[in-house]
Amino acid sequence: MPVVTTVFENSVRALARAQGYAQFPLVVIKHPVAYVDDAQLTERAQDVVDQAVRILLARSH
Amino acid sequence: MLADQLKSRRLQLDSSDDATDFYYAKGWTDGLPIVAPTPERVARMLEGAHLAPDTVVGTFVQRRLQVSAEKLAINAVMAGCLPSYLPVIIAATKALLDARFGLHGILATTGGAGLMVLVNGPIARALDINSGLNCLGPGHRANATIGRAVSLIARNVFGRTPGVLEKAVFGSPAKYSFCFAEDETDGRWQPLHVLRGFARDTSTVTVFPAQGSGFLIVDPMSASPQELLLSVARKMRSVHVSRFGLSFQAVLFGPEALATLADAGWTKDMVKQFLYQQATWSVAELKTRPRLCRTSEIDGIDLRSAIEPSDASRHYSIVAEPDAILPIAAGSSGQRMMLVVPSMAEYRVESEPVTQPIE
Repeated sequence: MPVVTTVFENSVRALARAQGYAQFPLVVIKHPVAYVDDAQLTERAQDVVDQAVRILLARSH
Repeated sequence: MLADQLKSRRLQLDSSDDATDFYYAKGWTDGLPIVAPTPERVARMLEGAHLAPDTVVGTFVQRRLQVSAEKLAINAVMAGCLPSYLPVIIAATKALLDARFGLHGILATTGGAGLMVLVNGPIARALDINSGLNCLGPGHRANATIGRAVSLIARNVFGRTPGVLEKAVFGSPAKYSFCFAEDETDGRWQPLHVLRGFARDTSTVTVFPAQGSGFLIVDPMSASPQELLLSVARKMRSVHVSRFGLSFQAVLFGPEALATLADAGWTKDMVKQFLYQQATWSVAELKTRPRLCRTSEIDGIDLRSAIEPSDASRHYSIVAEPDAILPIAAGSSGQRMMLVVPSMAEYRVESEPVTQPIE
């Protein structure tokens, strides 16, 4: 599943809509990723895991 | 009639003024007035390239778009182009859609890349595309409108909608229009398209994702090639892309700068090699800001480790390889000047310049 940062969320949703997948699940984390320190990166990684688990569990029901 | 073959939706508007207002309200312009793309004008534009409206010029894979000649012609009319310019715009579009250019990311980036279009070969003279005085500035129809057409195509055909599929933090005047030709009159230097493998009498466009419209270097005091190029290298090394060492950069040389180099026997290949070797950071510098360029190690050196005495003498280039430097002759006499135009992306990871012949 796509992982995007907040700045690009509406871009990816617009692309998904344009390709017929308006409800495509996204993992959205804080922007940016490139220049954050280790603690901030760890926080984002945990956020990815939390959201991915939620999305996968929701899809399994 | 060609106009009858057009498939785009027809709009009924009372006047050209209405068209500018209507198109602006729809988000289809760059904010400047447009020429209303009437069916007759679009048909005349297509005749300029001898193309049927439904000719597929290319495919934008990531956005599942097939790009037709008709859509390009509409935007060329809006930009104010002459029909004879359309082949250049078609070639530029093909180059932008080349997978190597990485258009999807280039259009979306927070950096807001300008789509630089360099024209080489006989067509540049035939269409009077300016390579001389004020070649990057306003006042020259071919430069202004070809560059503007490419920019409008990015918006209206490729979907470069600010705030949605484009996230430029500042944007740049280079995003309105950025087209010029190389000055090929000094035979001592190979034109860029020849350097990139094309015959001198072939006409080409080269597209480049420009980080703004460039940094000027005014350098009347440097009398030797080495001094002159060190001025360029100092400017080049100040530029960052996300990961260190993956920049690519175009460097424009005005006539006096070219003469300083060519009189001393310096070819473009020598210039590229020298700049590659001199536009560097030392390991000591990299270690002072290991996060600056998203690179925590280089050749096995941990840039987060303490600076060692030998680090000051070990250097790495800001550009990926000598071929990632594009020397271009342009501009007019005045002073010894150069202009560095850095890339808005990582070389061959995210993008690279693409040269396309003009048919």
